[in-house]
Amino acid sequence: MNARSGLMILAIGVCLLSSGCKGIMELNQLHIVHTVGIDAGRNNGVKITAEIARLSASGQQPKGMQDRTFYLSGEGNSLFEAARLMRTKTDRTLLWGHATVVVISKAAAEQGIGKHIMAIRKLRQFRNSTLVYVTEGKASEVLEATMPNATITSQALRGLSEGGESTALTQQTTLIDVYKDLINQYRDIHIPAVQLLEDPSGKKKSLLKSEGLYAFDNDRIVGLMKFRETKGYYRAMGSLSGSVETIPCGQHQTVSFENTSSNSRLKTYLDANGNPNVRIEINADLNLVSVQCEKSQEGTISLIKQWEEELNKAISDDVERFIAFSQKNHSDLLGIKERIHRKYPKHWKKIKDKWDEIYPTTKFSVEVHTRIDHTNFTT
Amino acid sequence: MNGNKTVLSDDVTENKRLLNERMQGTEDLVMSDAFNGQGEALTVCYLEGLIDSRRLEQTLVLYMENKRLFPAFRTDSKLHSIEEVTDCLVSGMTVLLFTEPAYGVAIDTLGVQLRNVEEPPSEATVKGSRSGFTESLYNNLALIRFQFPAASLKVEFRKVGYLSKTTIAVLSVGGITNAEILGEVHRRIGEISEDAILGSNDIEEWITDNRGTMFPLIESTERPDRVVGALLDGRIAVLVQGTPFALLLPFVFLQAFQVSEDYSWNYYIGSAMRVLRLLSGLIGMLLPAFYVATVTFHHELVPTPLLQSIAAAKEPVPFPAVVESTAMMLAFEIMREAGIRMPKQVGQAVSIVGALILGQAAVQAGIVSPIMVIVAALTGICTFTLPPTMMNYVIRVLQFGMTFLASLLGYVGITVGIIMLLTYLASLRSFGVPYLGPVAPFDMSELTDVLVRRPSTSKNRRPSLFRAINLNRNRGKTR
Repeated sequence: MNARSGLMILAIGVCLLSSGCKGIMELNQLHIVHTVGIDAGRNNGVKITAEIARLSASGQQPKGMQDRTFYLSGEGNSLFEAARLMRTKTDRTLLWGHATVVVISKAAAEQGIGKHIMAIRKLRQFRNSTLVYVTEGKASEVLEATMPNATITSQALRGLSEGGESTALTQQTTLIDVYKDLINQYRDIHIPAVQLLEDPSGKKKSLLKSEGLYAFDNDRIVGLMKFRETKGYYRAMGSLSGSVETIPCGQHQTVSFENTSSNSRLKTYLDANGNPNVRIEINADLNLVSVQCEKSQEGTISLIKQWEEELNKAISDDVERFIAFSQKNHSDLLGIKERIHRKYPKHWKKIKDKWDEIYPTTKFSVEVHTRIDHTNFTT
Repeated sequence: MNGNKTVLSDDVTENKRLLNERMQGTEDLVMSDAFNGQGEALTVCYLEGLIDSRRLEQTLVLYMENKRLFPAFRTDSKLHSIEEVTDCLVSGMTVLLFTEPAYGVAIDTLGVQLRNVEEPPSEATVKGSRSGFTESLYNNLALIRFQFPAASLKVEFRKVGYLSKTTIAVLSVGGITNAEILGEVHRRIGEISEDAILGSNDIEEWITDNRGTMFPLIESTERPDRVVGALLDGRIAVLVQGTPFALLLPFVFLQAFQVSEDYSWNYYIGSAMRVLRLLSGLIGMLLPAFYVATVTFHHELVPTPLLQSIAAAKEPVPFPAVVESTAMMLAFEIMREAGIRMPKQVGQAVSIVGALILGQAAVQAGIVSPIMVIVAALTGICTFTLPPTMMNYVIRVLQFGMTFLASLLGYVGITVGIIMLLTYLASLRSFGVPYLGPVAPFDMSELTDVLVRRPSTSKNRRPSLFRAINLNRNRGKTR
């Protein structure tokens, strides 16, 4: 071996030794954080709670996502400080990269959600696909809830968010979605709600329920959209895939339909006085799933026609309720502002400063066309 | 010619003395005097045990009856010096010495017990030819000629090793093999100055392009059909007396993933197996490194449920992942080595110890994690799919290096390792052919051949990589 290659090996060796092993972290020096709860702390501070999986004791078979969990919390002036201070209570480094869900309490959201989302983004460890929820009570209590077959709350919450596809009452809102809305300001933020339910068995256990959306005006929470408003919102956005629609039929009886597809077209235009108008056109296909009342033997086609009209009414009612909520709370979830900005850039400059007053008076017209696809009538 | 050689004399006793002296007075040398039908005196010399005595007897009887039968024997030229006589004696011939004029005649009476043609143990097949080479050079040549009875197959004998004078045969096909490469092979063989050639690997090391590399630059095979396939691609085969392994050259890296059996199956199956072998080569080299890098540097890249399982399994393990991985891989290597060296009777003991102690008990004792056992087992098995045994040893050595780099720098380390490896491979040549061809220099059509086993009907060109003279495989029809 000549001197040159010896020198090269030495150089490579020094490089590897001095820079190598940086950031090395064995798995048994880590706590894997699954869920993060953000609560309002004392003195305008923030309290952060982490749900961490307790790994099986040695000798047992690994349980995967069925392991029990424990909780750690920290409080500080900022999210970052709180997270750092948590390290004083734990023997291992926290691995935030696997946090599947961030639950924010309503109280914390009222202080403004922007700073929390920014702080999480700046931590750089979180995945873009981390789900975000807002809860009425304390976020830490949501973390402690136990669902059957899901001891890790993040799994339960992930499962709940997937149910939105068939109920249109919740959806998967990820960190990147919230962040995009926050930064782009095309439309206001909405975050699905999660609430604690008492277990009917009366024990201390509690269940989780995900229904409705919290609407925001900029980064301040303004209110909860309940059952019908949420559905109306998804209808208007055209992002609804499956849901249940019912129309009354006789006394205390209903006909139920399952939504199979729905799309919407939003059009903004200015009327003669230069006021913005919005026209929402919705097309939906539904299947008949249950009829409680006696169905008249003849005139099925006219009956279906009648049902379709009633459905049109019911759906446009939902959408109108949502619009009323949105206008009342100045929460522009549909992004009307950006649509007008893009379509009438010159006019937008004139009305930009008065937008907060203009939005509640904007005229919306809703037109719904439903089609009953399958009635499953055998006679 | 007679420069340093001792000419045979007319004196029988003198000849015997010279022979004895030349052969260091060896005691297995038999020299007996006889007379033929015409009353001529002759001396029959041979080495006891090396010759087939029945064959000798038959030959001698024939000779006694009719002297003219001699030209029928392989070596019919007359010998005139003691050195020539001894050279013939040591290669198993019987020499008849005559006086007035003094000359010797060698008859091929070699009779060594050799094994039969069997299925090659290192290159077994499910479907396809089952014959493998033996230690006998002429028998091996016969097997090749049998598979490929073409007049254009050319055999050139060379003697190498100044003491052993081992016969080696260089095989090429006229009209296909590039004469330049063939000339280079002969030139390099001519440079061999070792005293004795004990196996084909000796030749390989002498004639390889780069003696400092661990990668095989010359392929060795036990299968006549593979040799024929290689000859038809314009490659050259070198056979060595006493070794059942033929050398095929030039050799490029990606050929390590090809097996002659690919051509025995339907082409879809053959192609799928090729891709599978490439994949297992990659797994064999990189899986432990990926495991180590992932569990020590890049925890975020694993899906959460999987990480949870890995973490739970790793919880009781006291060692860092790199130690755990290296120890398991080392244990696997030890078991593999033991499996080859041990007597067959104790084979069961090793496999029980291997499976139970290293697999189950180590996991239960919390020394290694079960995931690591899976990684080690999968890696070990993957490397065995590569047909050239040399290549799977190389890949297993690389796997340790990759794991080391991964433990220092994570995925960055693996990337650095792969880049260094590719750069190095690109710098290698096998008889002037780039080792990384047809990837670099890039040739789409030939690269397809590496990944896909083409149907025989559309495989109408020889690879240009080996600079064959005539690239056209099919008669008449061209692509």
